Amino acid sequence: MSKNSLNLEAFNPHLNVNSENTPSKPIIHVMNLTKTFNQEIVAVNNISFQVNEGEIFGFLGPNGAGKTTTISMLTTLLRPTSGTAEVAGYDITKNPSKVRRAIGVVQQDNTTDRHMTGLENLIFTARLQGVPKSLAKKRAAELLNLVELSDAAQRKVETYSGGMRRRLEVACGLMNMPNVLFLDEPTLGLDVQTRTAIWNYIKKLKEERSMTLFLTTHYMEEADSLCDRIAIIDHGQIITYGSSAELKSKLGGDTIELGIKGEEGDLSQVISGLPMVKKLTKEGSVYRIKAENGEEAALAVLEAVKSQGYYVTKILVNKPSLSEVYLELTGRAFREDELGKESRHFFGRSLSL
Amino acid sequence: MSKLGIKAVTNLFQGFGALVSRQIKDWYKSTTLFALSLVQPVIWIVLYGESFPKVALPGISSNYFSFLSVGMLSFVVLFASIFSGMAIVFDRQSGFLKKMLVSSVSRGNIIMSYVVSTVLKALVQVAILLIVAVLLGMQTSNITTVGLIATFIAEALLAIGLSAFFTMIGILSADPNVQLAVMSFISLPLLFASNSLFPTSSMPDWLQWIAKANPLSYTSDAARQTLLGSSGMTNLTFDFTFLVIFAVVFSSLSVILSLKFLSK
Repeated sequence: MSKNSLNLEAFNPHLNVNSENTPSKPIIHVMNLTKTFNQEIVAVNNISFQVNEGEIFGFLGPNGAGKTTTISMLTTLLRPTSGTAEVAGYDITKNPSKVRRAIGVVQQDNTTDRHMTGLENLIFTARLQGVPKSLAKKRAAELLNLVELSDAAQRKVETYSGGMRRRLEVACGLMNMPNVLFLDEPTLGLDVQTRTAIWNYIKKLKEERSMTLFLTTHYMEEADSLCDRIAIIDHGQIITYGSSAELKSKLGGDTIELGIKGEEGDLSQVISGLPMVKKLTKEGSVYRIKAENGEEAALAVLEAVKSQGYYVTKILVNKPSLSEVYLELTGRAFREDELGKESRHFFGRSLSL
Repeated sequence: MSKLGIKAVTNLFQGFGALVSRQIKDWYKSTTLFALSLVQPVIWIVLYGESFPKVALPGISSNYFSFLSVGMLSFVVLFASIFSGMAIVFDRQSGFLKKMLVSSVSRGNIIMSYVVSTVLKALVQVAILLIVAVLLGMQTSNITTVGLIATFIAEALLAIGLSAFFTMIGILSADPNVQLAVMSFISLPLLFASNSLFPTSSMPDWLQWIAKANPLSYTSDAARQTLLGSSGMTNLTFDFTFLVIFAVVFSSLSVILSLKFLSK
């Protein structure tokens, strides 16, 4: 690795999270990265994490969390206010041009030229990236094949659907055969088929080309099914990170939501007394029960409640999910369609380059 | 050994050719835009050449139409540069600028691609204007090939400096409306406070000072000396030195500014 890499363990002791016990090289080190706008708005607040080589890493958070700001810094579009990161062996503040050579970026906004054809866009990107002519044509054909745009390659991009254009963006981002591919909300606003197709390309890139993929998303399902490891970010800070399985296991089991008829009684003592119940919280008339095996525990709880003479109005068994993880850690529900005013502000920021 | 040398050179200019050809293609592929660019200099020379009185003004050895025609070359360059100052703004709005910024093209190449494509467009318009002026009666007795080349070099240097300047305004403006306002604000005064339309000797003292600091003056002066053989404001060496310094200083400034401001 580069001579400037710091001993990350010494920096942040809690960062030794590794999904498998295989030695893996961190290809992205983020160290105390902070970005403040106008000396007031702290978009990214002292974050640190590592991405291992060859993995698909997801940066999950609601809109306005600081995902785009982070990825802009890692791809050298923005300079950090403090802290730094190493991407593919180069420091983003000291060697941004070397970082750019090693990475590919698929941005949230469309960057392809509408007046050119799909193929022309790819060849143009190749010329920009310094890919020699002979290689460019071959690679363009391969990439068009990967994103299933070979048939539409000779058509102008202005005739493409949104999904096709996004697929072309992915192809362009891969033209320089990067070590790391950054994708900023790759399936935002896309139909189900295109989204599934893009997920497949991402998986293929990891498996067939051993590429490292860093993506930001606010779709829980995307992070859960696609990513090897995830960092959950909110209000500019990383709340937790690790593999999906690890994060969910921290919840300590299933969650049962129980609604009882009548506000007066408090069944907390009775329910928490049950052997299978690990934890209990009461919010209004809803009881949230943690249990190892939700189904079995639910039956026991039902019995207990009935035996006390109360009626159950609702019962829900929730398997551990990332939304549960988020709720546990922040006390807020993760709303996927939320477009807070912060995000509009940052969106404007990242556009004003 | 030489292979490495060539590779180093190609790396330096990586992406430059692609960016310039994209700008040029965008220009000539839009028929309306291209046609307007070609017709504009023709209309100007006919309009201004016929409407400004054809009198022999003190300080001009050739007839006024010829004097004016050569001065209009700088005018054409000025307006071509202003228009291209908007190119970077459009690219920023369309997201194309971001594509360039994350690629491995150097910032310097990105900026200079805007400058060079403007210079090329401007020179085409200069050529057209010159041809039409000659057709309309500009003095051709003193034209030599060397003179023509020298004129084009002078206009190119002016174009480099001006387009670098306007591109810088583009980088610094957050608002394209403000940019357009600034550029419109500067352009006509820049034209009138030069010897493009009238000789400096016929100007009041205070205006002469401004004209003598104005690169348009030096361009028109150099072009008149090389094309018309007229005696000028200053000698040719001084003209070209001024223009080279102007082009180099503003290009460098724009590159430095791009390094600072394109990644905030």
